[in-house]
Amino acid sequence: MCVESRRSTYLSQSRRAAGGDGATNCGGGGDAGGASDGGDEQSGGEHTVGAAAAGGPAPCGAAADSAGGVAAEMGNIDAAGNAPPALHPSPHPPAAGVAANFDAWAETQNPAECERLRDDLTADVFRDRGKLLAPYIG
Amino acid sequence: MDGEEEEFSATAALLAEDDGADVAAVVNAHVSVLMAVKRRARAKRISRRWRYRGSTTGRRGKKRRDFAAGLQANLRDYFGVGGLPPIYDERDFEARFRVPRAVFRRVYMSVKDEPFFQQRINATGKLQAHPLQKVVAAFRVVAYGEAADRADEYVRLSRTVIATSTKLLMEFIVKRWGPTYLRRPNQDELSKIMERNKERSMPGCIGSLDCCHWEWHQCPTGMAGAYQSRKSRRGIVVEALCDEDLLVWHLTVGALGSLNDINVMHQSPLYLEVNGGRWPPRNKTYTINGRTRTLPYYLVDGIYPRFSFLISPHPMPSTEEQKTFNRLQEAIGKDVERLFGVLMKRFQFALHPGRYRSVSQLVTT
Repeated sequence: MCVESRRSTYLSQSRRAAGGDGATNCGGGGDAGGASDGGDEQSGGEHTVGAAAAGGPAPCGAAADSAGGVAAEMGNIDAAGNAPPALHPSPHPPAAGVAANFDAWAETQNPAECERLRDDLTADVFRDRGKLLAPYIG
Repeated sequence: MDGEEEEFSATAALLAEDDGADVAAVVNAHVSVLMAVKRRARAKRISRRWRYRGSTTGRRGKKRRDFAAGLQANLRDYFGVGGLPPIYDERDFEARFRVPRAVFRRVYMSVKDEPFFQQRINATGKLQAHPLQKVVAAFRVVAYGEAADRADEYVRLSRTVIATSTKLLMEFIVKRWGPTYLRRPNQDELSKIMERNKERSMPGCIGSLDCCHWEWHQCPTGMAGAYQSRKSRRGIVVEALCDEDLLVWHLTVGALGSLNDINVMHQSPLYLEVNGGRWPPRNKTYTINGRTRTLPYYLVDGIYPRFSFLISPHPMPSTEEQKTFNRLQEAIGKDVERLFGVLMKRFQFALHPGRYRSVSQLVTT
């Protein structure tokens, strides 16, 4: 999810100076730090962490309780199956040298190997065609 | 006496001559410069006036949205109030929000304490919008692809707040759960994918790879050359990789709309990792037609180049074997096409051209 920024404008420079990402917008953060124009009546016009801590808005829990027991109502919602799956990401192989990179590049860019693999798959598929194509032929 | 007469005569002479007109011209020029400076300062003040937010004469008053009514409607319809069951059941909930209730609750509980979503009290001591209203409005925008002010009458929020809620909710979801769910498969998952594809006559296959376009409605004219596709539509390219269960293992969003699938792949992180030998792992062997290999491969369509980790159909099938293979390869390779179809039907936001100004916001969404 990486996009190189196409322009380096005054706006991007000012964002970069302010700690935002003016040059690239890789990943999920995007321009999350950008200020909204939130001069609206509901938002109070600022949504930065510091402003929330110092500005004195009511914390959600107390306000929710006073607004009709929303927290209690939301607590009734079934929460089954909410736990995220246990993650065991595959480990990165250690960074190899230039020779290993060239070997990998040669291995993956080999058109002859691609042709051989496709021919083998073609022969393999044709051998089992009756069983494999049954769902699609009907 | 003589001196005074001389001075008077000099002044009279000065005024009598045309020099008086010169002095007047100088004074006029000076006054005009002063007036210009004053006008400029006033214009600057006026140009800055829109930034001022406060109670000023002539400013449009706030709309008297009843936040409590919007919250009450949300709770009554989907969550139940006062011990009464909700009006709409689970099926309606999932149809309208496109996610099960448990997922919605999980998102809500995570985001409700974020600074923007917290409920606030304004300067007059009135309670402002509840986080549930903002989350419901954001889900409505994403699920139905509707405009930001479409849900105003239901959730009682302004267009600005709904648009900001949508933007911040998407950023929060990507930041919070992106690393969890948008990642590479681990060893167990990779084994299951390869085992399943082996049953589908494609041993060694670990997914299908393809691209699709997302139109960008707000693309600036100056960037049309980069983002305009061959179909004269401006947009960005989404490259995705998924398996049979439509689990997305790779997603690249935001490539220029003028690029074809090959160029998108060349700048994709997946391609760089495969070429660098960092992915996929070579510790799983598979045998095809008596030959054992270690490099898994992806199924792609015919435009992709002949790389050993990409298997495309035969370009011009002539024999029965090649036609059979093409038929099966295209059938299995449609997994990623199904993914695009499911995504667009589920979150109809993607059906409509993106309305954001920046590519980064499109990417996040």
